[in-house]
Amino acid sequence: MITLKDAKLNKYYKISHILGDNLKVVRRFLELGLVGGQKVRIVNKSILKKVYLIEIRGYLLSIKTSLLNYIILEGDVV
Amino acid sequence: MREVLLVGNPNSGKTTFFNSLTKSDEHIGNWHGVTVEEKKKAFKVGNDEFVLVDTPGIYSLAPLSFEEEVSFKLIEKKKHEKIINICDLNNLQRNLYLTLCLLEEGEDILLVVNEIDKKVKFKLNTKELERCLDIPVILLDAENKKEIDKIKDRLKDKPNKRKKPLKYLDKIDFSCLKSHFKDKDLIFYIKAFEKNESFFKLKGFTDEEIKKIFEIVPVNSMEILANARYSFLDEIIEISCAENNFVYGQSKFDKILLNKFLALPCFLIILSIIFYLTFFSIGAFFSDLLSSFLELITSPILDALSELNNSFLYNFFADAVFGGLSTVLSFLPQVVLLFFFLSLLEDSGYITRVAFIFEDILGKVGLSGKSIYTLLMGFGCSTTAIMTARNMDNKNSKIKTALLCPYMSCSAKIPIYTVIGGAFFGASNIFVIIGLYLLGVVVALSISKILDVTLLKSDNQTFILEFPPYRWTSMKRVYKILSKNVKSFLVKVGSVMISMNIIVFLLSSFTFSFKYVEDGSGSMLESIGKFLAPAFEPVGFNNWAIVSALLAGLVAKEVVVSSIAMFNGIDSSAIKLISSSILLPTSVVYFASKASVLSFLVFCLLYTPCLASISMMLQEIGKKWTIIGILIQLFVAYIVSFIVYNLALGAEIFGILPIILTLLSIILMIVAVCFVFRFVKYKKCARCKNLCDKHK
Repeated sequence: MITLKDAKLNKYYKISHILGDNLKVVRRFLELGLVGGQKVRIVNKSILKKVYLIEIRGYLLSIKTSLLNYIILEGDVV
Repeated sequence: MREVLLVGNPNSGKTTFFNSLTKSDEHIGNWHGVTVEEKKKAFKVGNDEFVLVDTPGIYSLAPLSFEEEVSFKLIEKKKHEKIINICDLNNLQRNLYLTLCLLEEGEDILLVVNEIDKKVKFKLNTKELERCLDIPVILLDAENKKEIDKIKDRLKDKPNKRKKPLKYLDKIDFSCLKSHFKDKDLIFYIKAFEKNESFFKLKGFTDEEIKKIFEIVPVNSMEILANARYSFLDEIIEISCAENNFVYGQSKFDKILLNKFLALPCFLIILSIIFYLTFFSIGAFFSDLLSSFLELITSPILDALSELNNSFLYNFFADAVFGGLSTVLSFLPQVVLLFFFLSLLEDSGYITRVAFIFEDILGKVGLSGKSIYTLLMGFGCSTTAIMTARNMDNKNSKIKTALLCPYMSCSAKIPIYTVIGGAFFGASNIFVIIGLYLLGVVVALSISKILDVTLLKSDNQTFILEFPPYRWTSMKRVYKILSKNVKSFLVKVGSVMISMNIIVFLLSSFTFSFKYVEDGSGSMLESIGKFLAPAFEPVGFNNWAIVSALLAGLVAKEVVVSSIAMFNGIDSSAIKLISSSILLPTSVVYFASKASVLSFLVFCLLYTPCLASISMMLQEIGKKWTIIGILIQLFVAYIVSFIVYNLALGAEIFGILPIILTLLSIILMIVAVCFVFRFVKYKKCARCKNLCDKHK
C-alpha cells in the first residue's frame, strides 16, 4: 500500500481511498474531489519538502506533506 | 426586507459580484479567504427591497476554519429567502459539490456560473445544467452588466423550495440509521453520514449523542456520500460541458517562482522592489512634490494669522493644525503606493505561492504558511491584517498570527523612519529602514518560536490550499485601489489625527490649573512626560517630549511625528525643518546621539500598536490574549531598544568592529549550545534502543 507521500514527481497515480485519524481532514479531501478512482499527480515540492503541490481534477492544490499519508493510492502508475 | 445569501467556494468571485450588484467597494483579492466576515447591503429591484449578504468562501457545509464557521452558521440560521450560489467555471465540478450540499438542505438556489478568466476549462451548456439540477442557471461574464440585471429579475421569483430529493441519494443505503432514528428527516441521515459535528452541535445535540450517531454509520460513510455526489457531478459535467484539457492555475512562471533555489530570492527581490519604489524613487518624489505644494498653501494663511497678534490662535493653527498635520499629509503618496503594491500582490495570485514557499520556514517557528498573507498585509495596516488571521484553522495559530501582526512595520510608521532617521543618517537611512523592517520580522519569528514552545503550541495544523491562476490587475481596479486608499488616508488625517493633534496641543499648552503657557513649560503633558521620562533613561531618551510623543502615538502612529513637529514649533510641511530641529540641543525634542535615535526607532517599531489594532485584537482573540500581547510588546520593545542603544553606544565609543565581533561570538555561542542540546537529545534516543518515534 503506497500513499501519495511516496509517489514520484510528475507521475499520475490512481487514488484508492482516503484514510486517516483527523475526520475533518478526511472530509475536506473528499470534498475537494480526492475520491477513489481519481487521477492524481505531484507537480512540485517546497524547498524543505514540507508541502507538496498536487494536481487533481484539473486544478492545483497545495497540501502539507504529513497529510499526504491520508491519500492511499492503487499501486501502479497510470 | 428579503434576505439573499451569497455563497460559494473560496476565490470564486463572490465579493466582486457583491460589489457589482450592490455598487459597493468591498475588499477583493486573488487568494483563498479574502472575505472573513459577513457583509450586508440593501438594494432594490423595482419596488422589492432586498438585502444581499456576502459570506466567506466554503467548500461544503462542514466548516474547517473560523471564517468557514461564519458562513456555515449564516446558512443554518435559515433567515434567508434565497441563496445565490456563485461557481467558478474553471473549477465547475468542485464548485457544484457545494451546490449539491445546499440542494440537499432544500435551499432555494439561483446558480451563477462565473466566467472570471478568458481562457476557460469548461464550455458550459446552461440549459443542460439547468435541466440536470432543476434550478435556474445564469452564466456571468464579469464585463457584461446585462446578466446582473437578469439575476436581479430572477430574485423576484417566488420562493421555490425543492420537494423531490436528489436522485443520487436513492442509491445510498441509510437503513442502519433508519432503524435507530425512525422519525428523522433525510437531512439528518445525510449529516450523520457526513459526520458533520458542527451541524449536530448547532442543533443542540450533546457530545455523547453525536458520538453515538457516528458509531452507527458505516466507517467509510463520508466516502460513500462523497463518491455518490461526485459520480452524479461527473455525469452532469459530461452532459452539460465540453472540457478543455489544461490544468487550472498552472503557469510557466511557477517554474521560476517555485524553483527550489530561486523561490526565496525571487520573493525577496519582489519585496525589495516594492519597498524601494515606495520609500525612495516614486514615493519620495511625489512626497516632496506634495510637501512643497502644501507649504505653498499654508504659508500665506499663517502669514495672515501672525498679523492678528494673538499667540494662542497662531500657535493653535501653526502647530496643531498645519505643522504636524501637513507633514503627515505629505506622506500620502508613499502610504498609498505601499497599499497599492500590496493589492497588486493580492490580485496576482502570487501570495498563495508565497504561502507554499514559506510553509517550510514558518512551520519551524510554529506558524502556518497561510500566516504569510496576514503578515504581509501587516506591512500595510495591522488593523485590517489582524482580522485576516481568521484564515487559520487552528485556534493557537490564529492567536499567534494576530499577535505577531503588529511587529510587521505598518505604513503609519513610514513618517517616523523617514523624518527622524533621515535627520541623523541622511542617505544611508535606506539601510536603517531595511534593518528596521528586518528586525520586525526577526522579532516576530522569535516570539512565535517562544510562544510555540510555551503558551501556544500549535499541533495538527492543516495546510490545504488551492492554487489560483496568475491574473493581471485591470486599470479600473488600479484606479479603485488608489482612490480607496487616498480616501481612507485623508479621512484618517482629517478625523483621528486632527483631533489627536488638538488634544496634544491643548495638553502641552495648559497647566493643570488651566493656565495658558506659550512655551509649554509646566504644561500637563510636560508634567506627565517628566514623570515617565526617567524610565526611558536606560534606552537613551530621557526627554519628556519624546515620551509624550510615544504616548500620543498609542492612538495612531502618525501622531508621533506630528507631535514632535508641534513640540519643536515647526509650522510648515517641510520635512527637512523637523529633521534639522531634532539635531539642535536647544529644541524641546532633541536626540543626543545616533544611538538614542536608533533606540527610539526600534521602540516605535516594536511597542504597542494603535488603538484601532488593539480593539481589533480584542474582537478577534479576546481580552486575555490582547493584554498578554500588549505586555509582550512593551517588554520586547524596551529590551530590544536597550540592547540596540547599548550596542550603538558601544560602536560609537569603541568603533563598529569590536561590536560586530562580540555579536558574532554571541551568535556562535548560541549555535554551539543548540548543537550540544541536539546531540544530548540524540544520545538519549540511542539509549532508548531506537524505539522513540523519531528514529524508529
